[in-house]
Amino acid sequence: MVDALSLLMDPLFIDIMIIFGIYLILSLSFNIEYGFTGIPNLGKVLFYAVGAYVAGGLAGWIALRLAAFTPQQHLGGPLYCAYGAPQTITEVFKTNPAFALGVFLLSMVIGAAFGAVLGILASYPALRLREDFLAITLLAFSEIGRLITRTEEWPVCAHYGIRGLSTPFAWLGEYSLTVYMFLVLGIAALMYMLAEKLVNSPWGRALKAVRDDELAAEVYGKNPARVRAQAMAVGSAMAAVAGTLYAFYLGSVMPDDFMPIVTFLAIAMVMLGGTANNRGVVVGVAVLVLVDRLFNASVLERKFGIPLPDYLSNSIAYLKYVVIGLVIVLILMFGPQGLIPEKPLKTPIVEETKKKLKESVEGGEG
Amino acid sequence: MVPTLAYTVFRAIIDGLLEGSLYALMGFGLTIVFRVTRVANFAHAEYVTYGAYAAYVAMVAWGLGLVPAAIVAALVVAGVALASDELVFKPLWRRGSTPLHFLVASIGVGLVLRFSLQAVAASVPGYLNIRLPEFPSTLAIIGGKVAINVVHALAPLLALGTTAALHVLFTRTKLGKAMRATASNPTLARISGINVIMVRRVTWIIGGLLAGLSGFIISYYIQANPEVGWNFLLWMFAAAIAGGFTFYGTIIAGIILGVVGQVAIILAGYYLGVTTAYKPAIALVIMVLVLLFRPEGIIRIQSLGLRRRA
Repeated sequence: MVDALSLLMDPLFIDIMIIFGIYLILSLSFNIEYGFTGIPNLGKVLFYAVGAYVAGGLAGWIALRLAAFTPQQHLGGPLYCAYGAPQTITEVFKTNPAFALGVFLLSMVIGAAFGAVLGILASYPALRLREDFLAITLLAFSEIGRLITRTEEWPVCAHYGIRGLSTPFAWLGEYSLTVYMFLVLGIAALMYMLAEKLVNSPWGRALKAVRDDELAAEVYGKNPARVRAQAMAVGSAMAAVAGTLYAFYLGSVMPDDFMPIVTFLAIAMVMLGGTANNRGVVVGVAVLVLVDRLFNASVLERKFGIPLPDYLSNSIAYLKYVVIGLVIVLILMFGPQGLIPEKPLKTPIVEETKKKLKESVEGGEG
Repeated sequence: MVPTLAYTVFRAIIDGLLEGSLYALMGFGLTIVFRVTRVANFAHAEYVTYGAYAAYVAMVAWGLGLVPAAIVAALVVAGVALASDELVFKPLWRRGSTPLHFLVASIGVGLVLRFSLQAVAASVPGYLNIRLPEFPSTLAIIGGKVAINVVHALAPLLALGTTAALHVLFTRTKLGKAMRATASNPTLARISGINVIMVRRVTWIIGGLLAGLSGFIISYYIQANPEVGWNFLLWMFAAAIAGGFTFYGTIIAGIILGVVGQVAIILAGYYLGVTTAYKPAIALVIMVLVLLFRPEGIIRIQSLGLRRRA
């Protein structure tokens, strides 16, 4: 019992579980777009960033309003960029439970809405371009977005970032992260169920139809443009939710947290687990989150007491990306289906027909 | 009295020509590989970084001169490019992967190359930021303000020389014609008895040589770090895309992109108060606009006058 409790309070364990939840949502959303619909969304991190910035902006703005904050020194940009603002925001999180929970829910909803709208806008090139050019275009979108957030004070505080956020349970004191971990995992589980439900619905079959043969899908009355836009909307809204969770966990939103490498990590997770298979994605995310968090000199040395030679402790943070790159290459070369290959969708009518066929065969024999 | 803005714009044009020549050299490698093998190679950026580091190691650790260092850079990168094809892209092509798979695989190759270099650079002191020990000397100072140095002349000359050499290769030699045939129709080329495997190898080697030279120029002119090539990635794609993935189109588009990028950001800063931080956005916006509205490219110079000779 004591062991279980101390594990639940262990920062590394909490960190791994929360990052697992966040990346699970992100990878599931990538899987809907890439795995099921065939849209190589290399701009994934843009939609993730949208969620995070919506959370940061909303929480910062409302908290400062509640605290009636007036900056001593304000150099420009919104109020939450001002000197002293982050401390005030944190203080409000710690003292006002209604605010903390309310702003969390609000930014999830608004973040998802922003993500969905942006996703529909970004699906515009998806109608015109071949897959590989589409991928480059979406990557360019995400880099343009990062350039803007790095440069503009309004509304994102440029490279200074939005700081001072906290988990919605900051008022619980030392238990706040543990409770937040359960919340993130709960939301991730909900998202998993949602993704499963969606891809096994008629809409999910439409996605696959568009991916496999656009012309045939059109013949059967599906509008590929609309299906792609819907897939991008759903995927981007999910990514934005992941971004919101990340912002409340980390407590700050900085432009350089949203490099294309985040997208590449999600790609590696989906491909390792199994493209177009949500269960596979869970496995892929679990493996690569462990790699991501354990390839860390201070964790290995302080936590597990594994002494690292100097050259390794300097370079291990980079070696994890070498591993991730190798995973992408090796999976493509030796098992493009991933650990758990794609399965036929669960279609009620097919299941029923199979059952009836089986019954009639058995009946015939008897 | 010439106004200061005129000098600033003049400097922008000179710098733009230098940058544009680099985009042309890098974009050309991207184009040639894409046309012959259908790989939209994200790892090409990493080849450039490797060129910069190879030149640095050659000069600092082995004590070579400038010219041998440039040759070493080109050769090392040609080797890296060839190896990445032999180990990854050719096997993928054999099992019939789609262009999208090539692209994703090249991201993986790029990650492996970039971060293994990062890992080494992080553990060897003095390798995180490098610059060749020999600084380019000044050739002329125009109007007492704009200094033109060796690199400003070297990069465009190199781009011109490469273009001329490649023109001869593509129009006058059997190998060049085989490459063009493979680029336009691999199956037909194979049936006609062209050794497509050989063509493939030569293609990757040429792409690698050019990337290596670009890397050498970068570390000669500015500082290089393990991310330097990655920062050029979208520029080289912009050049190749604006050139419609045609050989000469890419080179011309690259040079124009370099000059336009430099001049536009200076004018935008002067008249609109836009910060230079937005410079990469120019390439990105041009690229996205071209892809959306003229996916076949703006500048396409496809034919080489071979039809007449046929």
